[in-house]
Amino acid sequence: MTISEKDVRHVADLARLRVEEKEIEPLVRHFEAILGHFATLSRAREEGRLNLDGVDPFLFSEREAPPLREDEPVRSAVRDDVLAAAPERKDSFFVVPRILEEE
Amino acid sequence: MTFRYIPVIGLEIHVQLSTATKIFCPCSTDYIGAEPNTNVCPVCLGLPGSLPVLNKRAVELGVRAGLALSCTIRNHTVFHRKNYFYPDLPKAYQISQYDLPLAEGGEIYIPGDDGRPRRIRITRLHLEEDAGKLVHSAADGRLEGAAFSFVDYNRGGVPLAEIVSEPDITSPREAREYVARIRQTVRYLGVSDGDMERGSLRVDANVSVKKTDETSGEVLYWGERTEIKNMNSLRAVERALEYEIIRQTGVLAEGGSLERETRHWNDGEGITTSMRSKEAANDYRYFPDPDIPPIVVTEELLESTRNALPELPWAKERRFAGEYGLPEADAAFMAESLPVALYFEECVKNGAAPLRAANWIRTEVFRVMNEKGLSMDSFPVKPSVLAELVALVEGGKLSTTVAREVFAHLAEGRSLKDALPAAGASPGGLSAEDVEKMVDRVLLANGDVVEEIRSGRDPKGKKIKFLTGLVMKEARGQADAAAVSGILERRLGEGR
Repeated sequence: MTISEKDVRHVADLARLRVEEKEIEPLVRHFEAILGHFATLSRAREEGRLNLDGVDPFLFSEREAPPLREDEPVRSAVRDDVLAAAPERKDSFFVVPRILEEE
Repeated sequence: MTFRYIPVIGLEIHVQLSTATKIFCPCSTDYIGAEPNTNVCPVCLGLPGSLPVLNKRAVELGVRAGLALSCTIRNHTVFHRKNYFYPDLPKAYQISQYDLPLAEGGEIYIPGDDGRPRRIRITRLHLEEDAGKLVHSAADGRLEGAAFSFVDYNRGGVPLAEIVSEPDITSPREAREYVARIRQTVRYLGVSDGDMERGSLRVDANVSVKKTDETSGEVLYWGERTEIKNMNSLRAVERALEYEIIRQTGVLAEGGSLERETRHWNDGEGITTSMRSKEAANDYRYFPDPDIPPIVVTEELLESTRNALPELPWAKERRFAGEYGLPEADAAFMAESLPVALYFEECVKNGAAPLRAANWIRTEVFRVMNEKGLSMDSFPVKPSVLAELVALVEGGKLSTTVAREVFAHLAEGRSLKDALPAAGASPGGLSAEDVEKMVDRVLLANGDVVEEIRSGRDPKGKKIKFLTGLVMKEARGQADAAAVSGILERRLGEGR
């Protein structure tokens, strides 16, 4: 598994993380270690050393189906506190730097 | 070699589900006209430590829509996180579905361009949460150059079903038909109000154009596709696609190439414009939301939902045509919406002749509804009353002209008993005696014509028809024309 510095920067960018130049190289090694582990598993499977027939990907630790909620409205009292804690507000709007995706 | 450019269209339709609460929290979905940020809680504001709990009703409505669209419903369905940063999304991810959607592999039929039914395959239907709303024009009234956007999370977390079609649509007209059919279906099902203007049904279109050899049909080049957003009416869907197909065809015909991009429909100017392309933004890094284990759709839920499906629009159209002998267009009109279909059938059950009832509903009922801005549910003339009126016309007791006047009075809220005399018609129709008297008056007032007829100067019967017409006019259409001419002939024979 080869990870480039560019990959690390891209992932950091997507996650809006600022990564210092000196952190890039160690991160490349971290990524490679993690992905390398899965590559080992894949290889073992391809070479017939690991039989995964009938084994679903493990996505959830929870085995039970989650309970569903009835469709009954409940009003939350949290709003005023949240607005009060907002960095900026106007009346009951949250205010953010202007963002226009169009145009 | 001559070329033919063929459009290829696939649509993504988001419908807001008619639930009382949001998809993952018990906040009200009633966001239209609500004060900003009133229907919000830790879950839909994305506060740390909050956990989503799925709304059972949203699943039921999704299953309902999926079944009606002939989809296969998954018995285990998984929610994924779609990651992106935008201020309308406080968690920085949208809970949506990815490779294990609720429903897949459906179909729906629309009237094709050749007049025959066309099958449009439905790729999938999945559930997701809506985002909040950004107000770009300043709340303080400043429109230009405002440095801020205003965020309202009332809509954030409202449940959506996204219905994705295969690229089976080949013209703007078909796209419009498809959207109309989906809208009609979700309304029939009570799954969504499907209001495009208010945004409870939103359409994104993927369109590309392929260049083919006119004679062999061979595909020579397939242009890159664009995605069009912001089409807020059926008409807008059709116009935007017409524009975009001409634009793409033009580019290809000149030997140019197209880039994959998102374009914004500007309804006022009738054009699409390129939105800032988001190269990296499409890297959504979907992964299963660890907060929501797989949802189980039980066999019981499937069975009870299937059993509770209403008669769907296409089945109703077929039945109206078959059972009542309505022409196709009338059948489609009567089945257009559930309230109209109910009104029509109620009319027929109360004795109205189906074709006549359909004509009255198409013309008079809809005219008054449009003029007064009424809905079918609040229409003042009950179907049983319209049935009585239609029966009077059918029985020859009322002319269509007078019946229309009666109807106008009914629409004002009068009862049939009051509306008949108000329109100059008598409530029980005319008695034989009344008609005789009218004949007398007409004969008296037209002595010269009577004389001519009696002396045999009416070989073609035109003059007797003229007299019949005068009596009918006096009777305001409430007499039977054949009966009147019978009386006239008898009376004219008497004094000969």
